[in-house]
Amino acid sequence: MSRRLKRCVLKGARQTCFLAVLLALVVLSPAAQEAAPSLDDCVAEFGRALLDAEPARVRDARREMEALVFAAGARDAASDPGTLCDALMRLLESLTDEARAVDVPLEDEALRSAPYGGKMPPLLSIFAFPEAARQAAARARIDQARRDLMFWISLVIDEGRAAALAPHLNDSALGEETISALARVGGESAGRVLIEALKTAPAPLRLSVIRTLGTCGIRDAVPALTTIARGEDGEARWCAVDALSVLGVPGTAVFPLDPRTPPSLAARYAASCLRAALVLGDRGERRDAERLIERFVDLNARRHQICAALLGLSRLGSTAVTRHALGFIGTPGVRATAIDVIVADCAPGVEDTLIKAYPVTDPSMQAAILEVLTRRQSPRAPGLLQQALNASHAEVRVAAARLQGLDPVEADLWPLAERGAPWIRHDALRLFLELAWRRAAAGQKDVAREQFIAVLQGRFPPEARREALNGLERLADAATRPVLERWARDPDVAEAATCALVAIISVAPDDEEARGELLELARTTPHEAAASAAVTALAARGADVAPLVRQQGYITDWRVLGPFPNDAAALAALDAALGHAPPRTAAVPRVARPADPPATVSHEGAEFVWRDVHAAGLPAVVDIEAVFGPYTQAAAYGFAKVAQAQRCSAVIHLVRDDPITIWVNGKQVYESGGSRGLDAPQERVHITLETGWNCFLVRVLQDAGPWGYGIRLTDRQGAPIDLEAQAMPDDGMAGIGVTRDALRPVLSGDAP
Amino acid sequence: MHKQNTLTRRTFLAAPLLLAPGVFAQPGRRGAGDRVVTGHIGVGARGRALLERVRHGAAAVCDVDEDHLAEGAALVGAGVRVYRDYRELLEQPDIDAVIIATPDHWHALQAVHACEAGKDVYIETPACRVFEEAEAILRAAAWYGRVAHVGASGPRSAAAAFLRKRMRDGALGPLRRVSCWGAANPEGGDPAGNRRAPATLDWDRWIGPSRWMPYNPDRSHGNWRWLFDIGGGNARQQGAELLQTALEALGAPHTGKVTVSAQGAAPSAGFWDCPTTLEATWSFSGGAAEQAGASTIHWRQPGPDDASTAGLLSEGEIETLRLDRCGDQWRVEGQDDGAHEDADPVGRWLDAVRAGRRGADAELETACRAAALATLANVAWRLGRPVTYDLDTGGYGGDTQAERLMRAPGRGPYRL
Repeated sequence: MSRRLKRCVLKGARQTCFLAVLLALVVLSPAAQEAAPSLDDCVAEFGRALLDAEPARVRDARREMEALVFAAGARDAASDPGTLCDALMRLLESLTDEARAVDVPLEDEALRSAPYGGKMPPLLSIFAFPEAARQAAARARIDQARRDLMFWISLVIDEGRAAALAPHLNDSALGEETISALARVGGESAGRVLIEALKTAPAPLRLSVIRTLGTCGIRDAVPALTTIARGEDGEARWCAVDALSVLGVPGTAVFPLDPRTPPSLAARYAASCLRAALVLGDRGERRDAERLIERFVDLNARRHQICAALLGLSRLGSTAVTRHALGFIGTPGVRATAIDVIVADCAPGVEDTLIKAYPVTDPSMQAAILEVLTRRQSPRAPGLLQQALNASHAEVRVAAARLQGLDPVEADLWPLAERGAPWIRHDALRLFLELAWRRAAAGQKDVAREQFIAVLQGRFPPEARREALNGLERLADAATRPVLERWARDPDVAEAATCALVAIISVAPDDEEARGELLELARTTPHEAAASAAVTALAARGADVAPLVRQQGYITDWRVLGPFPNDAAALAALDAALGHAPPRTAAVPRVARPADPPATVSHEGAEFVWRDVHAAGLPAVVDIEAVFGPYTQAAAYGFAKVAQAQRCSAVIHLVRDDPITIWVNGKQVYESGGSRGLDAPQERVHITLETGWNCFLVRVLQDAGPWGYGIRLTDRQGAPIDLEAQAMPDDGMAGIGVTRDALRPVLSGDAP
Repeated sequence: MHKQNTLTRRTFLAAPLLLAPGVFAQPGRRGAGDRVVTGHIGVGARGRALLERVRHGAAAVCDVDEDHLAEGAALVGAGVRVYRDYRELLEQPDIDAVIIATPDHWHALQAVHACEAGKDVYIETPACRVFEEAEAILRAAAWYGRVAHVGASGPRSAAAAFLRKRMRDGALGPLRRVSCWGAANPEGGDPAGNRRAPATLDWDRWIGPSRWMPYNPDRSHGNWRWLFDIGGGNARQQGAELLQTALEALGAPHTGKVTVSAQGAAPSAGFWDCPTTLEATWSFSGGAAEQAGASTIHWRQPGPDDASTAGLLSEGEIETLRLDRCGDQWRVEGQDDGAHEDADPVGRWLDAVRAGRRGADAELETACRAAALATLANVAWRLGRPVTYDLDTGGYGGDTQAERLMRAPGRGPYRL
């Protein structure tokens, strides 16, 4: 007998045996004899349905199983949950035997990703290993069924019987689901199973067991986890450190940190100490928590960890919090938190300590003390603040002014913005810019301009320079043009600078030169905001901006049809009438000539005619509500054609209100509900544009409010596909994109 | 085995004085500085919309789908760093804050890790799935003193503020009923589509802490919303935000007990397993809700009429107020004076980051609890019986199955 035939015979025999065993269990088991018939029928049917894999059958069987599981879990359940649990466990055993009997020489990873529905994994060619491929698919289906079954068992099994799940911890396909099941079940029994599994589980699952012991709060696992944390296995060791910290045991209690430990692991160690301390604090073990945090604060921890430690001390009401916090007043990233915790410190004598320190400390500390006293509403604060207005250091003067709600002296701000401490630099710069804006609003344009230019040319972050450029844009002063043209070449601020340039040109007299500049900017700038501003300025001057909008990749010329009622059956019929196949999975033949929709469409006795619509503005939006009027629960279609010289990948940038479906060349490429609004493109759809004509059909539903859509085409890198370059108005279909001479050979014979 | 929360839930918010509103907004008080450098975890459709909002400050993007990652990077431009593992992004010292726009099952884990890494967090709504995750987020935000916001525009809209004010002023009179609604859930999910995941998608990481299921396009991008374990259907996608609005209007009852009952129709086709229609009721006993005069919130899918896809109706003895969601806008019926500007959740969060308004606050607590309460409705539907949850102790009144269904134990390395 050939090997192949032998395998088929064995497979058939195994399936027959499985069904016979299942039937025997159903017929002969005492529980089955005593329980209601539906339980055994359901379990048996479920087993058969899984082997069958017919979707509707699996779904129905699964639903009946769920109903039984959840009924069994009700407090007043008529049936004994243990009986159902036994039946499910027996089915699991059967499926496990079935899985083991499937002879598949594949790694588990390939099995996990093997198709459930029976399709061939690409690793296995149907021509080379057809039987192995089928076995892999069958095995994957059985394993997924076993995982599902483990989930249901976890909903029915009594806490005390958790040990029955232990054997499945060593199963590579079922191990993770079993760990999750034990975590879901909870209780001492499950905890004991997991602790025992530390010794026996295979390596990858062992890490999951360690993590679960921590997240489930199993304190009985501390000794075992401590042993692992002191061991040699790297990842298991650090997993155990993390798990112990969740249980309130810090890394410091397990092993001292080795100076040679890599920084990332040292940070993990510090994090475990902090976490343990915070857990202890929440548990009410204040003294231990405080001691641990104080020790942690002295470690060379990361700044955010020091902040968390200070906050932890504050939450515990520690009397040492101010002492520790004062040590971090000069640390960027911690200063703000340090000030906060001192403000909140209710211990007596805090203000005395600060007042004593004030005269003999550095300006940054003085500024911090002023802030703390002000926020604590100390009676000594007003006097100190008044003195501080005349302090010798600018940082103190500025802090005193701000805390009293006064405007700082302008002359103090610029030096601090340029050379002050990190925490004062941002503030000073912000205040300087605020002053500049106020000057601009008050009409002091020359002074404001100089201030904005000073920020622009200073060594400040790009966001500050962008704000300065926004200020210059608002001034729209032609004198700043040379400066703006220089900064328009800086990639960090080019967009803001270009927008400012557009603003200057927009307020210039309406002459050919200005129009020419705006046109050039609209055509060549890569910045959408600047292009949009230029187009808007041109439109305000009465220029025809449609070519520019198309150049940005927007499809501007559409035909719309509607309105139709938002009825699924009617719309499906309309989709078909318009010649486009809705289902994604339906095979769509490649067409040499795209399907144009009929000129008129009949629907429920009425004739609908396409209407030409021009999408205006940026983004170019088809305002359907403007065409048909306000509707709710309606639908409309839009159609357009775009020509391409050669096949290419493209991206649709979509604005829409409300749900939309898009077909490109007869194939549905996108469908989505809800609404994203018409302000700016928020969705992207990858498509392929074919050589020649490409048909876009859009169906937009109307819930309520605005109703419209817009489509912009770019390449994968975001550069717009210049639709204007494709267009030439001579094909007789008014408003629809047509071809230039260069495209004629491509489209010969494709006249619409 | 599981920790019962023996400490009061107020523990996380109990850090005295540090979290008093207004403390951080005083003159001269600055937090992170003007520029907030953001990292973006999840740059699918919604993630990219958020990325557009903060493009200038974005320094890094992360996604397990190479196509999404490329699109996100293209959106920001040259110089942006790309990561496939969000933990590497969180290690970057220059990133101040992260925006999390991954599917729901990832929100809690990533938010907690972000807080532990010292980053402020913006979490797309719904914040989480279950109460355990809600507590973890609140604990992490409080412990590590981070600014954590949930990106729900509805509760922060001017329309919702109008509702809260009218209720506080007693203009509605004693409340008779508060009801919310959302769109029906679709049917679908073709099991024949199960296949090997595309080479550009790390499916194991996409599934992450959820239960393992084979790759299928009907389970991934966009369609995960209709899966019970991940998206929870519109009961959570829309309901969490509306529940939060209703809870805040009722004075955010975080004490006492809540009993949830639900009925609905199961899908008749496909493997999406959220009910296509759902009617649920949350009944609060004890706490502020009873004092407000209405202790019950109703939910239905689909809604009562075609005027909106989601909304909320507060019926009082004197007046009835209706909020409708139309697109991205929230409107109060009958209020046409144009004063109801839409909230900008991202802008609010950035302002809070700059002002250093750290720590878990009542808004975050309500948002997280609302998401978990929405899940509880789904669980009640699935069990076919009412479920009672004790907001103080975290117990389920002996309903073991409800308790187990409301656990999210994680998978592999992806555990809280």
